[in-house]
Amino acid sequence: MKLFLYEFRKIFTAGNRIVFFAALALQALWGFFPHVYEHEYSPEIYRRYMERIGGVYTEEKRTFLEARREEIAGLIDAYEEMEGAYKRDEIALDEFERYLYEYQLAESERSTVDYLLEKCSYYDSLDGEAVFFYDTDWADFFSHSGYPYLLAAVLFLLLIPVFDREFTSNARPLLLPAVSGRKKLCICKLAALALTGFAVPMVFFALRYAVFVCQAGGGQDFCVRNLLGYSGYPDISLAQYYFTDALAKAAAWSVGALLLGAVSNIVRNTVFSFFLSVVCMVSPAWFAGIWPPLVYEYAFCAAPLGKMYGAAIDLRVFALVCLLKAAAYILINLKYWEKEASGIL
Amino acid sequence: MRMEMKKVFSSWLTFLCLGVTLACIGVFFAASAQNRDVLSGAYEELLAEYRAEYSEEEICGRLSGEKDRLWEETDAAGESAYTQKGKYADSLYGDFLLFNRAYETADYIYRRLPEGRRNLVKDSLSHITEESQKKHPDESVIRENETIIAKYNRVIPCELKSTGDLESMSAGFDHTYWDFLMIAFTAMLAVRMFTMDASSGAYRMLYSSVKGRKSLFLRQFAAVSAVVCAVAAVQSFCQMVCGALFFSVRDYSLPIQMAEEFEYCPYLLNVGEYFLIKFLMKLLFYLLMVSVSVLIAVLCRKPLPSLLWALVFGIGPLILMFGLYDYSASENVDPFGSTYRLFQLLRCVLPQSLLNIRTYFQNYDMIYFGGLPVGRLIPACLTTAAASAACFIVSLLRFGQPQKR
Amino acid sequence: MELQFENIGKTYRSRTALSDISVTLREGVYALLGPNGAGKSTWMNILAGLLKPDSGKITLDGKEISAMGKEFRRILGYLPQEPGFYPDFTGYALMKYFAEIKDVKAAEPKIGELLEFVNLSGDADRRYREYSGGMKRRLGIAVTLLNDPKILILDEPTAGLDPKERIRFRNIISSIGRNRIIIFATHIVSDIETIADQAILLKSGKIVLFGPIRSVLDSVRGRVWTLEADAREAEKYVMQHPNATIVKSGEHWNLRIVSGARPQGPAVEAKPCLEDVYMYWFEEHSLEGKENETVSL
Repeated sequence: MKLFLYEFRKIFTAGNRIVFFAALALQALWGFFPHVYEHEYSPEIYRRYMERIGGVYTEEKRTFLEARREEIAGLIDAYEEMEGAYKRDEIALDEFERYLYEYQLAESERSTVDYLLEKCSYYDSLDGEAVFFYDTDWADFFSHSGYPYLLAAVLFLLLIPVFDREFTSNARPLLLPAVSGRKKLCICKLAALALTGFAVPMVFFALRYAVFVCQAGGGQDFCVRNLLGYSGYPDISLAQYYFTDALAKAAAWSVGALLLGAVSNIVRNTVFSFFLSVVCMVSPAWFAGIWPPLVYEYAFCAAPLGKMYGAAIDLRVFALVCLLKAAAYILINLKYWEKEASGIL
Repeated sequence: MRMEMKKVFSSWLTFLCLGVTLACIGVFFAASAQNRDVLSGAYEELLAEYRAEYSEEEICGRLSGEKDRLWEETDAAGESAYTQKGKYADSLYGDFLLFNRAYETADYIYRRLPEGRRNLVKDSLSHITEESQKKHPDESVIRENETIIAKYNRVIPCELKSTGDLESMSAGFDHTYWDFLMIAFTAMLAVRMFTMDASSGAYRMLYSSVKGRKSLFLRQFAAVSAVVCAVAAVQSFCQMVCGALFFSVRDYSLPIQMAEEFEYCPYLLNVGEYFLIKFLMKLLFYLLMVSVSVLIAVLCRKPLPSLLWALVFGIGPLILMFGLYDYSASENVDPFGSTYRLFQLLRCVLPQSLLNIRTYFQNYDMIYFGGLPVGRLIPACLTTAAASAACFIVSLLRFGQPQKR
Repeated sequence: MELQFENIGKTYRSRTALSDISVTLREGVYALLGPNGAGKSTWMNILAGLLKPDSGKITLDGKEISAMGKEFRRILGYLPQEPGFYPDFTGYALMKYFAEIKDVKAAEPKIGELLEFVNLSGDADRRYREYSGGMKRRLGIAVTLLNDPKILILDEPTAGLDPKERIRFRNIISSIGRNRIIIFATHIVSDIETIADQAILLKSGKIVLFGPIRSVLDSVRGRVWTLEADAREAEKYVMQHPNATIVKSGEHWNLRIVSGARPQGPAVEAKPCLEDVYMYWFEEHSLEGKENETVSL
């Protein structure tokens, strides 16, 4: 245990702690930075509708929306007639101006009402209770998570030196002849790698969530299936969905950390370790298009993906794949840590 | 430089990293093959036939008529439209697609393209007239519109030929992942070269004379630059081969405006010249990456921090540009908003914008320096070249100097 | 305690680093002497478990050390030529870390003792990167002694140290040399004279001489000559005997020549020292007739 703590402390040196906290600060700042996303509807109008019809989805609400759509369609269709009437002096200017104002409102509302009716059809197909709430921020939060470049940079900085430092500083000849310098030390290092590879992403994901919830102001207890297109997920809340995904990603990063150790042990050179580690960790995302989708998500453990885990993913299979990969990487690390170099040490 | 090249490739791991980088080109190649245009041969045959048989005035009408006729035939044939052999394609429906495509191309070349440019010229003329009639006309508005007229009031020598699918060809190779990989590869090579001597202790002998140091620096810099440029050249060559094999991009003499995404390109450029400029801009950026990585390695002397900082410099702004580009390409963009203006400013100064020069050629994209209209690409090039030179000079001066403790 | 090397061989690609090394060591201080590329580091790395021999075996009191595993490592201490300690760790933190690696129980008092022993108590809280060369070596020996090893391997322990540090280091080795097997590799013959009980001369992966220091010196008795000459004669002698040492003394030159045959001129037989042994056994020209010679004394 003590040796494991030593190895863990070696990862978080003073310099690395500064980098870690600076990265956390940047992550928080980025979360507070306003992000503008495109939507097929108007979020402001959508919010106003939610204030009016928010709550459990009912047939009456659907009827209300359909009636509103008809009103809007009628208003928009009446444009030519009103314009003609105005030109023929059948209506006064202020009446036409009032109509034009209604017309512009209707135009901006149309896409939103269409979207709401699409949601109604989606809710009709769901089993169980559906709830209207302002979910735009949550939908954006889930669909725009993006590849975690900052997290990746921090992890590379923290994790690559775990084994690499022993080769470049020539500490390995001192460590290997010691009683605990072989398998035990290697296992402690791997445990430190795996724990850091799990804990650091979790901290980042938790921070991202905390910053978001501060701004979104609620809704985390609503079922994830209330979001359009999320019918394939089980009956879990938005918060649970996010944290399940965070756990899956953190587990994947933890396995990735073991891969970084394996690369360092085989390559034994900082520059090449770094480049090959980056390629190993990031390249699966580059070639996502050529793999069958599910095979890709299982085989490469979802960590390279920026998006949330898909509904088709069976998390038990995913966990099994992670374990198998972790076992393989551990064996490689154990073998190569003790393996002699090709030349004289 | 031969010895320095040997130094770069002294470890089998350099070959491995190079192999990985080149293997990615192979994967892009394979991905392009998956998305290839299967109808391209038949399409070119169709265009050649119509070009030979009909005049420019007749082509649109003929193609439109044939397209409509095929649509009716396809509709009447039902399911058998997909199995019945067509004249050019494997099926009747395939023929319809070809004629539809040919008609769209002809309509674009002979009607929409010249019309669009004529409308631009007319609009500019009316802006000039409007401005001139004001009590205090704004000279810059008049000058800008005069420049627009000068740029767009020209005949583009289009022919009924296929430029090929430039967009798919670019999608296969000119994407951010390749840029990330090249940035990482460049940083890795440069940092390795310039920290190798410090870490091995060889620098004590190598830096012992002023002349030796400068000469060594130049040779090492040249070696790294040569490898990076060679990889970039291989990638561009593969892209051209890919374009010719899978996307019918074979005739590089065609005007770039024949591709619809470049409809409003103000320059008289052909496809070949555009790709050449693209390649040169990429080379310029990679040389900047070499300079910056070398500078960081010379100052820092430790491999891992040097690599990380080099990547932050290379990739950080690229991610920023990517995000801003996404925003500016969206429908909700506010052209007077601060985000859009920031994007436009960064396109003038940020070297990473040289990695995707498409936006500089899609529209009238000029800024004015002392009244002279200059394409936005020019200041980006100049900034990149100046930054490269500055990094190069500082590295040369600092190379081999004792580190201050 | 008996450490036996039987027919140890190691080859790197086409180069033989060690060939048929067979020797038995008991408690005492053994100096491993040889030119660069003789195989000293390879031998030590094999003993430390960092390399596997291509042939042969090493036994400790009859048991193969490869089979002993942790049991052997518990009594082993190894100090490489350039120990890679972590520069940001303090001396004390390094001691603690290695105590943990070496599975030393209740290490704190032991650490204090060792730091006192190597005269680093006052610098224990300074970072390793701030240590001088001598301090680094002393810390290295302290770390090596943490687990009270019975077999100690030291690779060039005094290389790069100033005379004062070298003397201090020799004193440390001398004081711990009892009841242990200490093998140290060196080029510095004065270290051998002061601290080693026996010397093993290694050349091109083979043992050419092994025995107590006195016997090693006796191997060149009658082959060491001194004479005085003027400049021109001195030049002639140097051309005939390139291993000659020449020192200017007033108008003349004093030469010391190692040669099987007495040199021409007023040569006087001199009492041999270890440097003469080195010159005799390791200079290229002196290989004549000695290619297959191995002496165990």
